[in-house]
Amino acid sequence: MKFEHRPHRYEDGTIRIGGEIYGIAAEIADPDGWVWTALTLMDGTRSREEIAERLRLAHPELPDATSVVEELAATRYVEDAAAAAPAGLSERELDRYSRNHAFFRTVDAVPRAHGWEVQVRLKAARVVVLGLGGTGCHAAWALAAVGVGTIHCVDPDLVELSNLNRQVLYGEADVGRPKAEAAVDRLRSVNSDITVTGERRRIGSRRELDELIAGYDALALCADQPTGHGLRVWANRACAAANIPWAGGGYSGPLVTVGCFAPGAGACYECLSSGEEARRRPGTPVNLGGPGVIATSAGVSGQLVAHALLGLLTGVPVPPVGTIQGVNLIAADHHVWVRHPPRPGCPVCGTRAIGPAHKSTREMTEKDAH
Amino acid sequence: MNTNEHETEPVDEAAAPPKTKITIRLLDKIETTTSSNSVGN
Repeated sequence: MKFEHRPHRYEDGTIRIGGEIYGIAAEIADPDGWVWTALTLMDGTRSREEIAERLRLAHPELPDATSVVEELAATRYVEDAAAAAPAGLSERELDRYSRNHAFFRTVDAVPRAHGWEVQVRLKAARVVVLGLGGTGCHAAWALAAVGVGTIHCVDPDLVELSNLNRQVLYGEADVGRPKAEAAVDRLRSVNSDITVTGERRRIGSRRELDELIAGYDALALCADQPTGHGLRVWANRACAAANIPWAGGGYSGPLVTVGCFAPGAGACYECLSSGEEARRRPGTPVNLGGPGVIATSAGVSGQLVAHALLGLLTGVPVPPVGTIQGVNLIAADHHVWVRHPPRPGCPVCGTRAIGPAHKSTREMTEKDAH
Repeated sequence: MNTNEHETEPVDEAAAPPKTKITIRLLDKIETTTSSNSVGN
């Protein structure tokens, strides 16, 4: 049994596994006690055959002890304690990412030998972070800290004093420097085991975005220039054409959201935004609100983008593809989860198939990401 | 409340023993914790 999912037995014999978190926690009815016996034997010290033999001895009435062990071993709650760590991760990386390993092992819904497979996928991943403002700084930091192997940072602007209330990659000494340059320096100091590059550049067309993402596995869209919606449409189409997933985040005051998209899976950004537009009161301006943003709203925005990308790149956790999700930081009962079906005939996700599943495994507010 | 039971297939052949099935039931939101009481390090 995975350490985080070790079993607990209630007085009535019911067994709890998977801890106490919704989406993981589960129960097994065990009136005869043989499931409990099997689970307690699965402590990492015995082979499957030894466990089955001991289970058979403890419960001779059990028709097939071997199938019980095999069935339990095929669940998300079990890993092979004897499995070697996959090649490709150094001792330093095994130490650096030890908490990642425990987290991925906990939330992974797919049975695997161990959680390091997720880290190996992250190490091989190549991600573009477009926009290094409030959202992009936090997203890029998270992707670097968690161990995404290659990160390319893009932004046209210089660091300003008014950025420092939320843009976590910069300090006072960076004011006046290109954001891309300062961000690369900071990210390399966070994690020297990955490759971080950057360029001072403004993306002004769909074609330029096509060029930017060529050869990468995913896009973190954290920019709002030239226009937020227009840029997201470019991302929607460019990533579909390149067959890579993307996530885009932003905020409108206290409302923080992230969209998670992957070619061939679920609705695309244009279908979701069309569905939301249909819900809006006619004549309402798109951008009511103002420029207010603080470290917390920007941080949540960037972290949600990074978290969505982790799922898109590895499948762990399972990403909410084709949806917009988020939180309203002033209304605890307002959890955002936007879902709309693909529009018939949508050239990106509708009746026309995009092709095979995107290269990796697999929203947006009206306000900016800066 | 658990509604799942161990299911044992009927024995009708002498050759192979019957398979014993285990049903693992994911808990509902209302049955799980509403607080993250773990460490914050």
